[in-house]
Amino acid sequence: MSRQTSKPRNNKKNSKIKIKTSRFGELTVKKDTLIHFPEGIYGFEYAKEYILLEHYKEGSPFKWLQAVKEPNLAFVIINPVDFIPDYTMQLTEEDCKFIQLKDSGDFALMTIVTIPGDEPQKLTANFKAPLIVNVSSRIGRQIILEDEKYLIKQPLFFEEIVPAKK
Amino acid sequence: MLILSRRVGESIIIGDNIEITIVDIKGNQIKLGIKAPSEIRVHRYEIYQKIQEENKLAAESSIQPELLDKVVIKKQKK
Repeated sequence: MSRQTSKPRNNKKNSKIKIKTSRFGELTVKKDTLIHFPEGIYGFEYAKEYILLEHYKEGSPFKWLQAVKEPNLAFVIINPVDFIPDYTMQLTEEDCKFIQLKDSGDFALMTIVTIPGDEPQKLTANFKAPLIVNVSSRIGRQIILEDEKYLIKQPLFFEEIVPAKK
Repeated sequence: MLILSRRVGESIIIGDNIEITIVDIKGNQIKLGIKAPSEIRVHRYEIYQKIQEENKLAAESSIQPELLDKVVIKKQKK
């Protein structure tokens, strides 16, 4: 007499997937940590799933948004509020609906950083078109703000690296 | 390209659920009102293009992680 098999384990939520990346090697991440951009990001409409990676250096303001299926595609991102403490934006009703944000829900805000290859010190961030991500549904969208005061290429404040004095 | 003539207050409909109304005309500037479902994004074309270009630039220029450490950010002071 065989015992009834236990109900199938629901592995889906905690299942892990492997991601190939050109910068960070092969990563194994939990599937429920992925962030979904159903429309992609402007100019990269084909890449719809991303994973958020901490920059390894402690205290760094940077994070990485790595595309799951495109090893080469990763954006450097920051939290705009770290740089402009009074950064404000109005979410439209359509945007809230799209990322399934309810009145009391939390959303994460990030902006993409552009770093000129020849002059990395002249980095800018796109405060005009932040990414919003619903923290619980993990659905995101890049929005374009009407506000004229935020720039597509807003310089990030920096100081030159001066070699340590002997 | 389909070309339609409309007066202020009149609309056109695209598909079943995108409605564009001529709200106002002043000189060579036209104000449009747009009703569309939430999955349809509506933007001024030149801004949309600029954002696409900036994202591409950001992706191309996203330097190797270790180079990021050489960038020292000074927080903005009020």
